[in-house]
Amino acid sequence: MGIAIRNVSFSYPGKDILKGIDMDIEDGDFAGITGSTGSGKTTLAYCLNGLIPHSIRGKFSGKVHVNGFDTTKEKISRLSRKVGFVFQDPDWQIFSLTVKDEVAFGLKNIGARDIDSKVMNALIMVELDGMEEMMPQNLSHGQKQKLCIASVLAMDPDIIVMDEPTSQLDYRSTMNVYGILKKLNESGKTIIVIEHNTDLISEYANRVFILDNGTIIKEGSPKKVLSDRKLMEKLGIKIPWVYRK
Amino acid sequence: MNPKIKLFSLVALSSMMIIFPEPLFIAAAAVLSVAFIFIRRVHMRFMPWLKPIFIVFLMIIAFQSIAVSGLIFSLEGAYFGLLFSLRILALISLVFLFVETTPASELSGAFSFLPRDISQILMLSLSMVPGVAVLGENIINSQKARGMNFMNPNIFRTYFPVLVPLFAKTLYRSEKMSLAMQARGYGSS
Ligand SMILES: Nc1ncnc2c1ncn2[C@@H]1O[C@H](COP(=O)(O)OP(=O)(O)O)[C@@H](O)[C@H]1O
Ligand SMILES: [Mg+2]
Repeated sequence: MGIAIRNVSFSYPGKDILKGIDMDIEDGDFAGITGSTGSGKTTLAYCLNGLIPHSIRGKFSGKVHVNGFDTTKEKISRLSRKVGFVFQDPDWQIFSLTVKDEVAFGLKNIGARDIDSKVMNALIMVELDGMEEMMPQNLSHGQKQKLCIASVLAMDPDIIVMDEPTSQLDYRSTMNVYGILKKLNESGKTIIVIEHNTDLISEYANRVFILDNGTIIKEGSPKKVLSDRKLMEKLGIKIPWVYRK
Repeated sequence: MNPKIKLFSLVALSSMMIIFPEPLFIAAAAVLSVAFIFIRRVHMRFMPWLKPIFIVFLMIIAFQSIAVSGLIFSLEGAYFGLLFSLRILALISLVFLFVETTPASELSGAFSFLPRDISQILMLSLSMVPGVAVLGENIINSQKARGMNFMNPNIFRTYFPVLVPLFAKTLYRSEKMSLAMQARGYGSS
């Protein structure tokens, strides 16, 4: 089970982005993916929930299995129950007029029952309960990010993918979001974060993948990968504080 | 007022304005809806829109004046342009009134009797409005910071540098939005 990616390549018309990716993520992992901007992290993430190849135009080859399901054969709407996806910018994904409606959206799509109580539970998990009737536009950036997490949590996916969740957050909200992710991971969910901040990866993740120019150039435990001074310097990635002497 | 009744009156009034182009009726509707914006004290939020709206109207009137009689100015064309603009003004003011005087939670309730796809599209467009407005303001400010003169009478010079990035960004955002909706199980793919 978990996620198995085999020899996946993807190109936008005239532009090779992913070049033969092999990756395994086990159930219950907290995986970090890092790499420079433009290395293909977001594109790789789109392969996990079927947006590639079903919705995004380009040339796809290889195999992605999520919980044993071949993403090329499953519809996005079915995969959405297994993989919750939080996009990089909350303003790209929040479109409802109230917090409550935003969380209920996915549940209505999959024809869930007890929508109201599922919405409430998801909001409690991210500490947004009491804000059901508010307009998402009036939330702070950190609250919007938490709303996006709640919106995918409500659908109870086994896997949660987050694309640079903290790139626009201050320190307190960052800690808050990672606290929530940690709690979810402990409750059995697989977490995959795309993250530039290697200090966060070393603290929270148990596996890390480094993507460079469309290939995974190194993977393993954060300690093994991120303390490799030579490699980190070559890639321009910051060595986490805990691994410095 | 019950949001459904309000929505119904909005739709009824707007369709009447589109079906019956009576000049008197349209003028009255335009005046009344603008008046109501002041009566309900939501005009502070309406003001920033006035200038771009009027510029668009001037363009419509100018275009109509010469288009009706084949590239020469005609009063009849100008009159058509004016009527057309008034109609748009009345429609915009009505929609603005409706949105500004209805709390978000009631707004989503007002659409609940519509088929889900349609109410979803309505809510999506409504929720995009504030974002687009803020974006527009930011673009204007950044162009000003680069020395653009908004008093320039050449409207192509003043509005293109704002509208082009605004349009591009909004398009990009709606593309991402569509991915985000699919990622949460919306649609048949
Ligand atoms: N829709 C698209 N069409 C063409 N090229 C794209 C598109 N989306 C992204 N790219 C390009 O793909 C490359 C990888 O993008 P992305 O996966 O977003 O990288 P990352 O998330 O690591 O910054 C970038 O060079 C980007 O410009
Ligand atoms: Mg990215």
